[in-house]
Amino acid sequence: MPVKKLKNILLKILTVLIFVSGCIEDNITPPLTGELNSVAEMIHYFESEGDFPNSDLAPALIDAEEGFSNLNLFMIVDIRPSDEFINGHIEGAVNVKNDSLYNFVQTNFSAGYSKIVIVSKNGQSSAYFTCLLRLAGFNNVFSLNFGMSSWNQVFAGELLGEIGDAPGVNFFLNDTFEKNPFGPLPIISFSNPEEKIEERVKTRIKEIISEGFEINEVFTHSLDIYLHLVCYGKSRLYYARKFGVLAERGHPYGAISYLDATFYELRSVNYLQTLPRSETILLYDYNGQLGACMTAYLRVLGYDVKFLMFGANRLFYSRMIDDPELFPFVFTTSLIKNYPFKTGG
Amino acid sequence: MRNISYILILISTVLLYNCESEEILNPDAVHIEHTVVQAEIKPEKLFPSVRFTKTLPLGVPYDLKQAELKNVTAYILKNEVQVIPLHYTSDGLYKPLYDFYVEEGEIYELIAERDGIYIYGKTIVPFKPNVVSTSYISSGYYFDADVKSKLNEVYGALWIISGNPSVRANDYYSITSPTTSENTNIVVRTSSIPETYRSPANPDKKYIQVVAFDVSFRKYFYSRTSGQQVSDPFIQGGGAVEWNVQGDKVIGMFIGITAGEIIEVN
Repeated sequence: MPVKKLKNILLKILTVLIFVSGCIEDNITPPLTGELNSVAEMIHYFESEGDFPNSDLAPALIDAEEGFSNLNLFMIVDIRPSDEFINGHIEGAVNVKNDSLYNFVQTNFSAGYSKIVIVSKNGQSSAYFTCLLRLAGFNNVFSLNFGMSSWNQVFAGELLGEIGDAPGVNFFLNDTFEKNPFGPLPIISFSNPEEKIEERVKTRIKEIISEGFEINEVFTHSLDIYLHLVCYGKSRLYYARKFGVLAERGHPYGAISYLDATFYELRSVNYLQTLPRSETILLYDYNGQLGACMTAYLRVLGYDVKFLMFGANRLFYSRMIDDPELFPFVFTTSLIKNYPFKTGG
Repeated sequence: MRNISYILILISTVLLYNCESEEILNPDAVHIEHTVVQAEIKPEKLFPSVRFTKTLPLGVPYDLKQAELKNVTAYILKNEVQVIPLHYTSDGLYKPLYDFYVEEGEIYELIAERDGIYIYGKTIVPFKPNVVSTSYISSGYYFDADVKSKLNEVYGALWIISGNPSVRANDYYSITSPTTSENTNIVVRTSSIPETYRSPANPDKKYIQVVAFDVSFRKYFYSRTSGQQVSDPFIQGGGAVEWNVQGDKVIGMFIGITAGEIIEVN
């Protein structure tokens, strides 16, 4: 083939290629894909609803006096086992098991009661469930401060027997144990991932309420220093004064301080994510009630956490009695009101 | 030979015909809505708000109430770990529920979702510019500054002239190129000062302020006039603005900015 013809053909092919290449759409960048972190979405949701556990509303306690004065206005929900309920309960109280607690509160949320008061034996499990119900949006739910123990001395025996100084309290110290570096949030999977976050959260809370209030899952009676110890409360709860009873016997070895109001160190912007997601956390507070509430919140977020029943009341009771800053959180016989109660079903 | 020519013409005709995409423009469907993200993250200040708006069709006067988006789920990922939710406040502004301060060198990622569209932006808050020296270049009536560079940062400079009221350059003359190693000396200049202040007899004090940006600002700076109306026949108006926020039909800047000291130039 002569060179001239060959050039002619090549020129035509080139022309065709130029035209065709002009039609090819540039689509080099793949579309951005991704999804929100589900725990981040939950924190977002809780904050948009007021961030109850990290607010001054928590743990939403009402005292026995207020309950007694408003028996006609409040719905009293007693969550103790039925045999304990039969042995004595507040007049008008309804005995509800934890597996039906969510639905019961949902049904009665708008029934006209100014407050729904959850009552347990010592105020520990009621504080835990109250926090869960608050996170689900039931903002008129409260927990009876120290439960039936504050209602009448008949019910206070267990609590009075539990409070005191722990055997190892003389080994407590005032050293500071640093928080972990920031780490990722826990990973959880929802049983209803396609639904809106509000529905996903409510389903998760319902599931956690149904799981109940199991020893060594949600709470414990003993301080295991091999767990990730968290002291949640004021600075004074962590550092003991330099004088007085148990001077400088601040906290167990390894305990890490997270301040509550007004610093709220477990808020998202503060140190929430310094909690480890792959270790069991044992949290203690003043008397177990704020700790129970924070435990509820952290468990919803997917942390493996439990709290020490009765908190510092069972760790260093004599120091709390001695310290004006801690005294308001102490259970004493003066809190027992000896109000009347009913027996039977 | 002639056959080959016919075949080629036929092929090209068929191919070109297939390429033809007939698009009948419906005036109502011309507008493709975009999500617009705006945020400037500055150190030693409270974390600011992130604004989420949408573009409005041509001919619709811009109204923030119409443009603002209220249904965005957004959070910040600080230093690749810490999640800080952002909540709608007003006028399309989303803020953290609680205050927190931004620090130099921190990494902020914006993660958001709007109606199933995933939105992502990332920025590093620059360090305060380390200005080694400044000078007045009388031949061009501008100031320049020697800056020790940091990685992932670019720099611009503004002139400021004292007086009552003081005046300040309203834009950067240029944005420096990123350097590949730290502490490289680079020169950043301002635009020329206004004629009024050029005379040596002018008593007003003159200053330069170097501003450090996250590296992604440079591409935006040099592409920001793309797509604008062209008044100069020798200027090409095409091309796309290079935003640093990603997502399907998402535009905007989520950018770390650190202003340096205001330094008097002699």
